[in-house]
Amino acid sequence: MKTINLTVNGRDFQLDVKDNEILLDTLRKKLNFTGAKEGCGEGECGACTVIMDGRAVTSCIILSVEADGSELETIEGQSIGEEISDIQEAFIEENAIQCGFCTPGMVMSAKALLDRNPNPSDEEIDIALSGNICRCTGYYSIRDAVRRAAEKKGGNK
Amino acid sequence: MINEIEYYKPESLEEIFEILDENNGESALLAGGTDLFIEMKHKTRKPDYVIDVKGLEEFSKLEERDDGLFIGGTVTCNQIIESELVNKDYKVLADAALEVAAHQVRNRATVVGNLCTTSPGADMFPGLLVLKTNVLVESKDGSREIPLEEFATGVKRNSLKENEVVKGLLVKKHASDGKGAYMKKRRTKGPDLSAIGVAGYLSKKENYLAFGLGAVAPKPVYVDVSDIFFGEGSYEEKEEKILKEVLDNINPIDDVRSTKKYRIKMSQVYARRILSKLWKAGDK
Amino acid sequence: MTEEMIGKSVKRLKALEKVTGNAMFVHDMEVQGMLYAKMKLSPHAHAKIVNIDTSKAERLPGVWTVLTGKDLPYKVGLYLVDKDILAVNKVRYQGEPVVAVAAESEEIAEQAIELIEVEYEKLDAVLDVSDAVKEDAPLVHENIEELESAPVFFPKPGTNIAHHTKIRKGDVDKGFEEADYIIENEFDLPMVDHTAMETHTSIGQWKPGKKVKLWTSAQSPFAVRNLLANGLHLNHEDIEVTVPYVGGGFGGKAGIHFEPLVTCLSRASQGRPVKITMSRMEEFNSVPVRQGLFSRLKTGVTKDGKIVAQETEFLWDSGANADYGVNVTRAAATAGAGPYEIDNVKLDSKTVYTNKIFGTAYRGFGHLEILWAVERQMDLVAEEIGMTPYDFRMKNALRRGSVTITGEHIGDSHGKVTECLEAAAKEIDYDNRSSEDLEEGKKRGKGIALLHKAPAMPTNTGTAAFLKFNENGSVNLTVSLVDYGQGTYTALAQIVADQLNMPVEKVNVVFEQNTDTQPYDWQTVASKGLFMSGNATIKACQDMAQQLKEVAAQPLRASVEDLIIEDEKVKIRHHKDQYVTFKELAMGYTYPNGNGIGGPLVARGNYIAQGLSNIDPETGQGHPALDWTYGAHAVEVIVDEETGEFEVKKIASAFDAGKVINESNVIGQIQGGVIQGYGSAVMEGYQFSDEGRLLTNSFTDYKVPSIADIPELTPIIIENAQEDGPYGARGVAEHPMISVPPAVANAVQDAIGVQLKEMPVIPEKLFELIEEKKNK
Repeated sequence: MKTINLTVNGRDFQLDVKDNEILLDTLRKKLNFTGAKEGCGEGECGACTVIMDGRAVTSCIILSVEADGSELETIEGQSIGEEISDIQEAFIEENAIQCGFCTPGMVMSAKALLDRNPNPSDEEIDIALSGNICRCTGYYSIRDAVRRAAEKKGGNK
Repeated sequence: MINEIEYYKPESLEEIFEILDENNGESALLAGGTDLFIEMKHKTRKPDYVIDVKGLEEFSKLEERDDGLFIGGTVTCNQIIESELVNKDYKVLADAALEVAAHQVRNRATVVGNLCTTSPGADMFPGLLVLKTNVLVESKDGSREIPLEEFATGVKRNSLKENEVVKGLLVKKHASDGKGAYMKKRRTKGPDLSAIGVAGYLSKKENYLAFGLGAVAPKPVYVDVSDIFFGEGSYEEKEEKILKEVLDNINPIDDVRSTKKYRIKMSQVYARRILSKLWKAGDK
Repeated sequence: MTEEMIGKSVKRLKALEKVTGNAMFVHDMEVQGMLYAKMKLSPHAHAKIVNIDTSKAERLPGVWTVLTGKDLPYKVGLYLVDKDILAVNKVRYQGEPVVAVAAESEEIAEQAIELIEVEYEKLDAVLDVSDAVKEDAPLVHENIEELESAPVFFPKPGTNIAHHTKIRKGDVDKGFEEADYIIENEFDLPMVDHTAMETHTSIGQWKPGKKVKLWTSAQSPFAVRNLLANGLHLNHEDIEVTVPYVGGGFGGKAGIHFEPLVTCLSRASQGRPVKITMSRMEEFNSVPVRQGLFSRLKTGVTKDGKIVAQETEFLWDSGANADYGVNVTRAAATAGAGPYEIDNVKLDSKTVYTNKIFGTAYRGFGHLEILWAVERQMDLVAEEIGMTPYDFRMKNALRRGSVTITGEHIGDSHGKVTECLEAAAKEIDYDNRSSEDLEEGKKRGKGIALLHKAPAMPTNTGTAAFLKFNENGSVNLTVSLVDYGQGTYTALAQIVADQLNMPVEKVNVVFEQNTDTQPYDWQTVASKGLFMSGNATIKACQDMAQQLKEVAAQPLRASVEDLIIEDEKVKIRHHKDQYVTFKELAMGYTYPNGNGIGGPLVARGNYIAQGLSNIDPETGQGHPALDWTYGAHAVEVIVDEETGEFEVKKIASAFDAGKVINESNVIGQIQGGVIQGYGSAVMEGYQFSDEGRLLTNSFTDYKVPSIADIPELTPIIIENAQEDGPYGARGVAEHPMISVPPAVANAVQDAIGVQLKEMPVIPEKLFELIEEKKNK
């Protein structure tokens, strides 16, 4: 067991975790951030994507102890009350959501991209999001949503 | 789920060796974890304790050293892709790193980890082979260097001894005209393992042409064809000889990802295409 | 009534809950006192269970229950009741659950599984349908005559054939005599996975009095209830099934899966709720798939391109169970000649057991599989007789006045497959296929494929809808159809808004399904949701309108015939300034002096499929189809003629949807379905070892399309109204997936002349054919 410190969506948490505890499970079960999902448990589907110290990562293959001291961003931090983020708005406007299971991970991958690269090319969007599987939409609307989010955030398109 | 473990995060090499000494049972070194944790979930590896090397500052370095490029043990694939230095002088490594898995995994997966897992199709192997790389190994008893061509010993087996740690890699610096390329056969444009991976590197100033191939033999294959290329004959004659040399050095199989026949064919095709691309690029 | 709601792309309901991560799936749920279940799976494809030692597991602290097949003397299944909850006496596929554990944590459950020892005696396994139908083949199910089945299915005792559908139209022998050409080919395709992002997961709780409460990621809460009641001998009214948000289904969650297991585990654990969640590997290995199919087609055609006879054999690889598989076999057979008019047809469609993971419903319900064969055969025949694939299809396509192979007459309400073909081909500039602009060694090819499908469902399928007012004049609509991403609920809200002339924002379509409180729906499958639930909703609205008017008539002192519904009010038609608002009527109308009349307004509507009949067991003639949706894909590929590498540049996909109610959601279905079909076409397919062990059991080797894979896609919607559909609409949910694979293979054949007959279309296979062609 170890005691770790995590900052999640700007809020500090101190908690005890087992050495073999997975970050995704800590987020979902101990901290109740159930937005990130386990789609495969092996880092291959992207449903568990969160942002750790500014980088998109698949939290299902990271130990919580590895995340000690880091700053995490999850889907829950993207909206405050009734205010949703530009990216979330764009996803709704472009109808880029069907069953909704991949959506939190997809939005976080999009955020990680736009935070670093406010004006991504289509190829750059594909590179950032090809690790997020969606079985429902066919991805066309998701690409449109990321482009639209970039526009909203001020990237020139 | 992964089994119960004791987790350590040392801050120096000495500490690592102490931990290895003091503990009984199986150990695992942890950098990116993108292979280790999957193996632990499948129960093909069950270490009793895990040593996280991300606390070692030396391991995080990606920098020019007079004899070449130092890639520390915890440098990630995305750091390679984003590095100006790598893109300027060692671009084939950035090209190869972009082929590894997906963006999120590349934020964790390390170049050294890719080599230490030693899959026959590891994407970083071919490029590092053709650039000529030494693996820098540390142990309680001191340091040693393993040329990358000698590193792999079989499918997922390498020549590291027990209680040895890879500090990093030293990639040879080449002449300014050197150019490389990496081609990978994929089943999808999205994240995929390599069904066939071929890297090539050409420097006329150095009279050097070599190919590295993955997923075509139990170990990644290195073929130095400088003698052929810088010898006598027309381009077509040399190309034929080079392709035969490549063919003689590979031993692919049928598996879930591709067929023996296709691997043979595409190794030839990729080598031919890379050769043509590098030769033409060299003319500029 | 204004029409502006219909056809409008109203924002998808519940998008906000999903995009904020607030939507709760069973994956996320925890119920107080919950235990966690894990299963021990069979390592063998076919083996006798000699002994199971669970003693060490039972002694592990934190373990509440360990169950084996012996503890569960029940059989479960939809159309053919052949499934064991846990293997009994023998295992029939690698991955079959043999032992289940319920424990206080997932970790303990996993440790318990490792402590269980099972001894097996291997049996000969049958892995290929061609082997399975041989006389001396090992039997997967020895006593199929003892199994219960729906009266339209006929398992053959002493064989691995779970069902055989026959279609006999006209006289094939005579037809072949008339033919100038007879072309025969064989086609093959492997099993494929649904790969919904949320794996199968259920929570079951046993309650005193033999009652059950279930929360499950499922498409059909009433089917779960029904099959559980039948399988475990319980009463329907004692079972409550709740379905919250569902992370994808695609048919894989249409039936019953692990609900009986968690129910039994809970019963044995003193009523503690038990949750089971499939890992992704279990999802691939132990959860049912789409059947594989081996087909043999023999087509007789005249010189001028008229198909005069077709003889077809379908051998469906249904794996170890056929509870759903038998219906796939039957339904697909009724569409088995494609959307073409053929006077003489002999079709035999057989469900075959093998020792592999079993098949279930999958988007397209057998139609993607059969149309691989049919649409490839069309191009192979066209080539043989020297006609273009386009002209050949146009010549034979079903049109008004045609008769289908089950004896159905095509009329005005049917939609037009020829219009779909024309539109798709035009979009990709079908006639222009020059390769001049391409690099040396690359060839351009263009291919087309048609599709058709009717809902595969019982002839007496029905559904119902409840509508009630809330105090503020908004309404709640409840249907047990599940919206797990199709967007059907948004369309239903638009229908209510249109029917009752009220803002769509005030229509609350209740998102969680519950069998106690909501009206019946058969299943959320078959692309019948909008059609049937839409019609039921319209009837509920009409019922509500009538009630509104009857109450309003009194204070307005008018007769019901004089009243209209407009702007959330009931108005006197000829004095529109005299009205009563919905809000004033919602809970009963109150006069100024305090008298109350009416009451809380609740309305209902139902819909049952009209005039459908079962097909004759010997001839296949009958009227099983609610409606037919037609479509066409046109594909452009560029192929490297040396290596077989290829790229799909463009797809144009046209569907006759009858009437679009929400355009953006129809486009969503088209985009998602085409890409799912694309996955089947170029990368998906189960591979097994020689011993029947699944090799493609993770995303590492079971590849699905990523955002980087998608070709350019142009969806085209055609609207020839379906007379009995809501506003003229028909379903278009499964259809986009169907026929994508043959369209791709046809384009490749057009480009480099190779005739691929096996799916998926991959460079390795093309290369083999290229080499074969060279060596001829």
